[in-house]
Amino acid sequence: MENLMRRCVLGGLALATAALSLVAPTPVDAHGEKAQAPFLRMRTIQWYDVHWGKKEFAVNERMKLSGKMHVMSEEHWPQTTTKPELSFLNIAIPGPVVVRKSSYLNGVHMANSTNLKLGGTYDFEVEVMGRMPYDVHMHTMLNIAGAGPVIGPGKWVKVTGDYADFDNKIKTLDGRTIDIETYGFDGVVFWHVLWAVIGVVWLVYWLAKPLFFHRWQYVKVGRGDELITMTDKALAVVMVALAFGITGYGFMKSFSDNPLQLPLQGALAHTEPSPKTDQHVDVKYITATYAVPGREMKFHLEVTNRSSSPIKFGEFATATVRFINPSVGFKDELSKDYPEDLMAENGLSVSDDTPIAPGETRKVWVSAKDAAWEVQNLSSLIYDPDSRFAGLLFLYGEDGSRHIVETGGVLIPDFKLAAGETLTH
Amino acid sequence: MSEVAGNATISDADRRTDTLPPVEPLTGHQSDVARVLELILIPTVAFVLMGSFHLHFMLTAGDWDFWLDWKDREWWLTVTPVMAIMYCGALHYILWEKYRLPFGATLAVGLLLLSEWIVRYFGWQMWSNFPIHLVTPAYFWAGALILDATLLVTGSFIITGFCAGFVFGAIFWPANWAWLGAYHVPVESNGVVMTIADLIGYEYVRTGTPEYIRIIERGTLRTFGAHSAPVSAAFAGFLCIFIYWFWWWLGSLFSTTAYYKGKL
Repeated sequence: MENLMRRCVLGGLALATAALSLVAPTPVDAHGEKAQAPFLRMRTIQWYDVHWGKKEFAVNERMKLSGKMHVMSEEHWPQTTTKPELSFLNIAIPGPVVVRKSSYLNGVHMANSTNLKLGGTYDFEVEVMGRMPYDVHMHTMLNIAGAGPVIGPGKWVKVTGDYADFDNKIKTLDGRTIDIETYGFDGVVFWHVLWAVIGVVWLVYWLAKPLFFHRWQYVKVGRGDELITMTDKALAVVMVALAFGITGYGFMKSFSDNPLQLPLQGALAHTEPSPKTDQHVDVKYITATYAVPGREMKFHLEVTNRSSSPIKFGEFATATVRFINPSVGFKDELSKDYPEDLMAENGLSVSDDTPIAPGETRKVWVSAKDAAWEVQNLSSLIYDPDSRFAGLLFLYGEDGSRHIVETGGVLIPDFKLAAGETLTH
Repeated sequence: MSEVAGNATISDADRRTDTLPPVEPLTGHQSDVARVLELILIPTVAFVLMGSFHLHFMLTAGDWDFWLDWKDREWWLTVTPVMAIMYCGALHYILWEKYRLPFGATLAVGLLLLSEWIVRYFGWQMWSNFPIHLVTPAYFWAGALILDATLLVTGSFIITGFCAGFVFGAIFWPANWAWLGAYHVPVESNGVVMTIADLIGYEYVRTGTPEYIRIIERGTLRTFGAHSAPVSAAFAGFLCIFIYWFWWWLGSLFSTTAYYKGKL
């Protein structure tokens, strides 16, 4: 019977090993952001004009990640999500393979958290320095207290060189130049080892004696106190003296070595949004629908052109995905560097794509259609607790002007679409 | 060969006149077997203790003791020793009452520190590339040695809890300041004053740990100004007294043997 059991266990293990070896491990993609609910990505923060300063940089070399961050207005901000009254400008990277040297929102340094206003637009800039050679998928990110991280677009950048060359020197306010990569670690090792040696001596002293069975016999019959010798007590007194003495010495030495010490700094930074400018375009949302089989979102809008130049729909951006109108195309150099997997280059079409004249009001159906809805896991927005969408519309004037307007509202999912059938305008 | 008094009560009279049953020491083969069993038991118990104490500690004092820029003057030095003394109290009961072994506290904190260093070196530095000083754990050796020594000398858990328990909580801050003080030197970074600890926490990016999540320097203890740390240390000592006593009692609950009488 035992033999049979042993064979069954060994056979099972062999089968499991064989099965696992057939499954080839796939490379890990840096796309955890797709796990976030669509409403969180579409109706909170819109990132645009994002620029990764360099595709490749070396250890000790700096690179800037910059752009604009628009906080959706109260009309669109999801009720289920805490407002960004306490937020932190962050980046999403796989551990500190680069170090963050500075981060700014509208010119204010963001070492601390800050209060952001709904409807505000902020210029952001994060400067990083290469620390170890790595292929980094680097995202912009905003952490919102009570809501969690809202991740922006991510792009692969490469850090080259050798970690051994990494140098992170700074100057302290008491005039010393230190490398914060290794600063203070000698002290950490010294004090941890010193205390560990004393503690281990105490433990080994007891572990070297006959332990449990021997001592239990004495305790059981009430002779436990006979096990404690004068040597034991003397050593105990020595340990107490050492504990107090070393603690006192270490404490005083810390202040004599570093007379200038501050507590941890827990302040709140204050920054104002960029001044609002009149976009000269009014967009009134009428209705929207999302065709599940066709992966197409269509929204009915009334547009009024109050500018002095004819305008056309150029782009609809939501949840870091950009739907581009091919008849307008890319209007800036930055777009050429935008991550391809987040770009639907022919994704935007308009029912009447002729330019909207100055002073004209027109109702149009705008269609954002691309596999990106599914690939980026946005089509599950129909299962969100609040069936709404939001995003930014970019309209371009013939005079080179750009008009950025929020849009969004209730979204009706359409699950039934016959072959060749399209939604009526 | 005398019988060992099984569950019989030892009277005070017997103690005074030394009529306690004698103890037959283990000899020869008995002693060897006992020692081998101990050598098997000790690592097994050590692993279980390491794992459970580490888990308990991470779930309670975790963040404060984990990150360099969480070790403030109020929360860190209050929460951390209070959570650490729990296992010390329980182990003290088990090892002292059953075996007159007084090293329970040092054993507990030593094993905790060993497991923490293993995780932080292999997991956080080698695997995740964090600099080790960002994730250095604090130690409790001073307080643990004093706890053990006091129990040994007094034989009383009440005195140990009252005196040494207080010291355990209060001495945690000055004992660790020997290595931590260096990280509170101020720097200026991009027009903002920070400590080196803040700067390391800022520069070495933690995607899941935004700055606002730090529970540091909050609460009315800040009104003590430069004296926040000593006041928090004294408060930690005060709490540790009662935590020690409570966990001594929990240790008794979890080390009691109950016998079932009758037939199954």
